[in-house]
Amino acid sequence: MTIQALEAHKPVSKTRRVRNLKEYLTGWSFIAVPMTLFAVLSIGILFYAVYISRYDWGLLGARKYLGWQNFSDSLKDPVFLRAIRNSLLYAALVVPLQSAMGLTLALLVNSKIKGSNFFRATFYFPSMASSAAITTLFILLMTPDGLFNKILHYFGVNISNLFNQGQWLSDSRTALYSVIGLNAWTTSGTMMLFYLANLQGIDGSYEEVAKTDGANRWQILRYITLPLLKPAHFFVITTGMIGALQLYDQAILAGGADGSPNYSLMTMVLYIYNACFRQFKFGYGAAIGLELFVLIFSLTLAQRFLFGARAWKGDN
Amino acid sequence: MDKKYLSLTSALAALVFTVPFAVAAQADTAAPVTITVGTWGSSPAETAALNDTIATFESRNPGIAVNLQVDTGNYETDMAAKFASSTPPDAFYLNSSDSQLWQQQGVLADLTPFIAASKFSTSAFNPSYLTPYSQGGQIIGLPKDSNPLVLEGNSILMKEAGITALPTTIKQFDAQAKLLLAKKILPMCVDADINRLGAWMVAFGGGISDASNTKSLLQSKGSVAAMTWIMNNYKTGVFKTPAQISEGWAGSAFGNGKCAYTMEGAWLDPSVQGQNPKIFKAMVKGPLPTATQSGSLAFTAAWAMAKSSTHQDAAWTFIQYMESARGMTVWTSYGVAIPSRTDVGTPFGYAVNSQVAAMKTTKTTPSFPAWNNVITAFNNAAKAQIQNKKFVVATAVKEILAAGQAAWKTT
Amino acid sequence: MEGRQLKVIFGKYILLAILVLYSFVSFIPFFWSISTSFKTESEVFFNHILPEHLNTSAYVQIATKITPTLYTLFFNSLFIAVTIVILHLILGSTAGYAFARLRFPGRDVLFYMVLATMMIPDQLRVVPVYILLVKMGLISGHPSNFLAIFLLKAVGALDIFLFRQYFLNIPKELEDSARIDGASPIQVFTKIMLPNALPIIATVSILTFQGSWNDLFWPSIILQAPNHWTLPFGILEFQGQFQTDWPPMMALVVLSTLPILLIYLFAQKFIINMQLGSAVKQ
Repeated sequence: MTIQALEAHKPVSKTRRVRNLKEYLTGWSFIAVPMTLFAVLSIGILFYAVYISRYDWGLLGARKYLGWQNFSDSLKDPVFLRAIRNSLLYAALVVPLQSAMGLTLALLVNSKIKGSNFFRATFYFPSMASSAAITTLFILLMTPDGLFNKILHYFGVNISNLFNQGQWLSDSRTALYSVIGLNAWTTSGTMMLFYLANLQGIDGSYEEVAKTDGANRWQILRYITLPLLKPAHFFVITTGMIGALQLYDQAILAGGADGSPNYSLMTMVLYIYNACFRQFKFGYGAAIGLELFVLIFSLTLAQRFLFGARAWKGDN
Repeated sequence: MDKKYLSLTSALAALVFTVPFAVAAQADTAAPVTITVGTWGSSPAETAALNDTIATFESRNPGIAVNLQVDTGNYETDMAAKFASSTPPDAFYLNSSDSQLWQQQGVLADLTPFIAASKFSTSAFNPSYLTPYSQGGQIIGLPKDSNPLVLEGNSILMKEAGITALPTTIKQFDAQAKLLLAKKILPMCVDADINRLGAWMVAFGGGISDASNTKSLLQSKGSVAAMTWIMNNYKTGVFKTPAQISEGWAGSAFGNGKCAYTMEGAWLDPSVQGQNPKIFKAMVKGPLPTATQSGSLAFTAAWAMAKSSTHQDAAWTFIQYMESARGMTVWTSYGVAIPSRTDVGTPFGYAVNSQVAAMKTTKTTPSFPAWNNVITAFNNAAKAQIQNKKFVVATAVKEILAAGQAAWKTT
Repeated sequence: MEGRQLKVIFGKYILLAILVLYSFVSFIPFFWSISTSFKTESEVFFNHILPEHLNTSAYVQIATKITPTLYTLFFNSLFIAVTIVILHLILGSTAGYAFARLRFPGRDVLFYMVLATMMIPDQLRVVPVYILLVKMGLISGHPSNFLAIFLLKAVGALDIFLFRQYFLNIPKELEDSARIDGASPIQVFTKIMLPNALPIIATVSILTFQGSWNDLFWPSIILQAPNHWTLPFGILEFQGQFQTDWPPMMALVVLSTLPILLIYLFAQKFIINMQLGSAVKQ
């Protein structure tokens, strides 16, 4: 038995107990205000959603008890199944992309390369504007005559012979991928910021030891820096996924409330919007919302176990 | 009795009797009622026109003050939140496509008793604009204006192809399209949107829905014929969607001189004027070409009243003014909308729009609760077909109409 | 030997070229906004990169023609953003510390609750939250209307998560030595954790300020009186259903991006210049 384990079995002294109680109280008081607000404005609404999801719930309240019908109806709607597929595909691609780009950018501007101050400022530019402003601009850039196609044309691509005739956002085969490109680009700056902040928290002594042991830069990155960033990876990937599965702004701006063309931009949250505000079926919307919640929550749990205890609990 | 004496006493009597009432009436106006009026904002010009119309209302009704709230966000979302919390504006815009949906939710006041009590006549309205707002024996709104689709032509481009006048029949249109294509001019830019293409269905003798505004005509003979003609035009390049030519909507394609024709409403004019004054000067307007009948699709919005309003009388006074010939004259004189009444003069520059608006064959878009689903299904299916260069017209038509028809049944 | 050196230098230049290219791509949106803001209305529709003449009428237009006024919009945006940043920093850092380092019953379950709040789409929250705010009397044309925004935005689950993950990485020895000296958890937090958390404080400040500054979803539902509106409302004033007045809209986009840029440039210094690891070693 190790000493630590022995200590854990020692009877707890009275002063220790007082100190524990003090720590409990400090802990609870530190989270009291946020938890109260969350309980009312978010968790409370989750329970409200559970309640109304069993009804045909209109603007002025319950109209009819439906049991599980809202849930079973949703799984029979091909448009909803398409929305699930789109949201999952979007998240599966955009999360690794934005995380990898953010990490790469952070490592680059954190190193001592020439002009790192300048790059640190410019790389953040796409993340600065509101999603509405940047998406509006992106739509202009991606039109058949837009800048993107002009660049392709410059490199010898014949736009009119492309399978989508250069209509990146209005062709159902490329619309979602175009939005993935947009969001990987615009969120990479934010992800860079997260990684940058966490890179400062790394104990530099590990790297120095490795360097004196003759490790090269790649080895330091691979065996020291990246593993030490585990809590940051966990944060970036978890929040990235939570956000990605709720794609809405860019989808409605590029494809309208219809999620057009051919439902390629219909996402789960856009589907909820349509149910609630274009049909006033709040019970149905709540049912979809709960399905989305369960999906995101289980994927988050899966990640917590995938990343292991250290990402979740740190070193202590 | 002396006549003079009689008139004097009666005048005195009238004075004695009316003064207290007049004073009482004045006491009423001393504490004016404030009503909240909610609208969506479609352009600064529309807000300005609305503000001026409200000013004329307030000067004629000193007892009522209007607090105008122009919604800059998402109107449907914001109104839903306000209805659900019982705090909607007293009077507000009602989109025809929302009318049945909102009525079903029980949030709209029935205007029938107010119309009866104030002897307000609805006979001056084009009946097709009243339909979306009078269902189930109730009148839940009165059309504040209308806006039909008309054919707009760029006479500069037309001249290049040797065309002197707008086509009045489909046959003429087809012939002109050939001339334009020969000169490498795109004949028509129109989005694959049921809210545009539906006008052709009317022109071919079909339509989107029947007179009750709820029964589908999508798979009627006329509509199939129209869709066949339309899809054939998309296939041969006579029609192009704005997305195909790098534009956000057909109006800006027209304003950029990228197409000879387009089919939009009165909102096109100020937009083209701002975008390209030269093309605005060269713009000619006419009714849509006819296949079997002259007709079009029109959009309408109404003034409606909240069921939960505590100032319903004042709100009705306001709505009544906005719907009167006088109020509508002020409102439409700015050219942002076309009168829904036939007894209001034509705004300058919008004679064609007004003429089409008054036609019996001009149909409003449907207004039943699943209409939004139909739009979604139809447009998605149409765009999916067009993106494939090699689509087969007959199957495309069948699939698009079937998608719209299937969505019709959902509620 | 020489060949290898050449390869290294060559590789460095390629890397630099890629970075410059990516900076250029990143700069396109802002550049386009600036360029458009100096164009005339008809010039917008021609795809020239630069305007023919520097036309400043868009800036005159936003200075004089916005409802209520540019100054009011700017002041409201600033007031809301600064208040929310302060609230987020206080509530986020304390809660983040508690979840990372303090032991108390229910800690993990409560933290899952924090994460869960991020998983409920706003579309689902709009109606019940609005009803609640109406019942509290916070939806009105009075200044108390701002309280509704503050209440709704006072805490961010993301910030708590961010602080927590950061505090997890701060070496335990730092804290232990202070505890042995008899410091209370609150003292440990203020004297040890906070001073070492500058990078994350700066990050949260940037993100919160920017999020509040650009937000339109909740303000457009909550803020009733035009003199309580914020800058994004002004941007929408130039966007009609069928017609967008690009130059003044982009002028306002440029002006409203500047404060974010300034804050970013200021705050990022605190992110990069902290070498915590070496500080511990000494």
